[in-house]
Amino acid sequence: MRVLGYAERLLWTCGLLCVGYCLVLGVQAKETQRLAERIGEPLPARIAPDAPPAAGDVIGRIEIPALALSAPITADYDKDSLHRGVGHIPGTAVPGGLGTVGLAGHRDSFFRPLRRVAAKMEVRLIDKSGTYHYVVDSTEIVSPDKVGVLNIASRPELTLITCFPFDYVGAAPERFIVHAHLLSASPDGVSAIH
Amino acid sequence: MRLKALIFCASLCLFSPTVWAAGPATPAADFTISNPSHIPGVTLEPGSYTIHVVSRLSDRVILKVDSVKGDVHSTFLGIPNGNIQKPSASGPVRWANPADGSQYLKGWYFPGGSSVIEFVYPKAEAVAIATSNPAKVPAVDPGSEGKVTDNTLSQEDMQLLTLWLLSLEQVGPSDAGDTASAKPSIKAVRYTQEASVQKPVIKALPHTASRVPLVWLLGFCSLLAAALLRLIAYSRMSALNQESLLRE
Repeated sequence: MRVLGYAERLLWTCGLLCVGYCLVLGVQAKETQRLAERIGEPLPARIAPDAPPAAGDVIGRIEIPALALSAPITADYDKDSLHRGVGHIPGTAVPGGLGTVGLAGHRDSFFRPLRRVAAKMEVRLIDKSGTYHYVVDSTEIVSPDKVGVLNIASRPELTLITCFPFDYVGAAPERFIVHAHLLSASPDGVSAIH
Repeated sequence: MRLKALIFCASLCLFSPTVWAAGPATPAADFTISNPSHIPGVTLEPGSYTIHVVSRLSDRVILKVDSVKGDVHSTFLGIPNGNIQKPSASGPVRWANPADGSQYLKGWYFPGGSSVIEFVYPKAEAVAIATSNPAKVPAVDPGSEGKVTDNTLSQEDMQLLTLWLLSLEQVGPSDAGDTASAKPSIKAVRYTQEASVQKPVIKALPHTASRVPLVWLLGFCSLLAAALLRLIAYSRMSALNQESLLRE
């Protein structure tokens, strides 16, 4: 009877800790999302345009309207960054940049809708310079060592990376890749020179 | 026999048109401007300057502009472009239309050169030029290759930067199949794709499966099991209570 009592207390503690951990991550993600949604909005006149953003590691936002996907883009793809958004792979192009933009996201959170992605869907990358439009060309499943998917191609591109299979429990053995290309090197509604 | 071979080689070198047409390896020129003019990354105020070729590479040259006063030292890339009509005299070649109200220099023609050296602009400036000029504008985007701004790039970085050509074309939603709403946009294509080995930016593709679903499941199961135990304990207690009541 006493053992069952201890077991019950242990289970309550463990359960509440796990749920609390998930809730904290959820709140963090929501906060990052809120910050990302402010990117691209006109700055108040009293704030200098060169002033650093409130959260230095949120560099923009990704949107795929057809999948109702909207997620913050963080400056790196470390564990913490991937909990709060989609991670930009340093060394790849910046949103709208001349090169290949590499973004990685969790298949069980921000990039979960990618399982329904299809060719010709529009992808928007929004950063402080404006909104850039990409169009999905293709998808592929590759092994984790195939880093060539991030190489610079003959035109500016976007590569989205997430783990595959989507329903795999644990460390998935493959990677799901989405290839898209940039429509215009000039952002929407913003002067070319910032 | 050796002498003949030497003379043959020397004459080949002497009469080779490419050697003469290319001019000196690192040509230089002095110039004065009376109106503010843009070169890649810098605005030149009215004054005297010198421009010279720092280094010639396979598909590009590195140029440097210094002001006589000593306040401007700008290094940037250029590409020899045989399609630009050579001016009658050596000197600057300007873009036909100003961009964002500013005059941009298109390139430089050095005395004795075989072609005009076209300036390669940072992306934002190249977009502005391409928007107002119907031509392909050479561009680089150091920020998209993990590099900092042009003015602080080393010569090694400049050798490795990818060159692009930007032009104003119908590349809007027409690419997505909607020709009706196509609008002029800035199309970018890679300048040359030489057979160079591209250094990978990462060793392996990121691992993107979080433990959150597992933690959530573990927490849910723990709470469920704890609730079950509570229920068992409660039912046992009530059974014991009933038993004791019956005994009494």
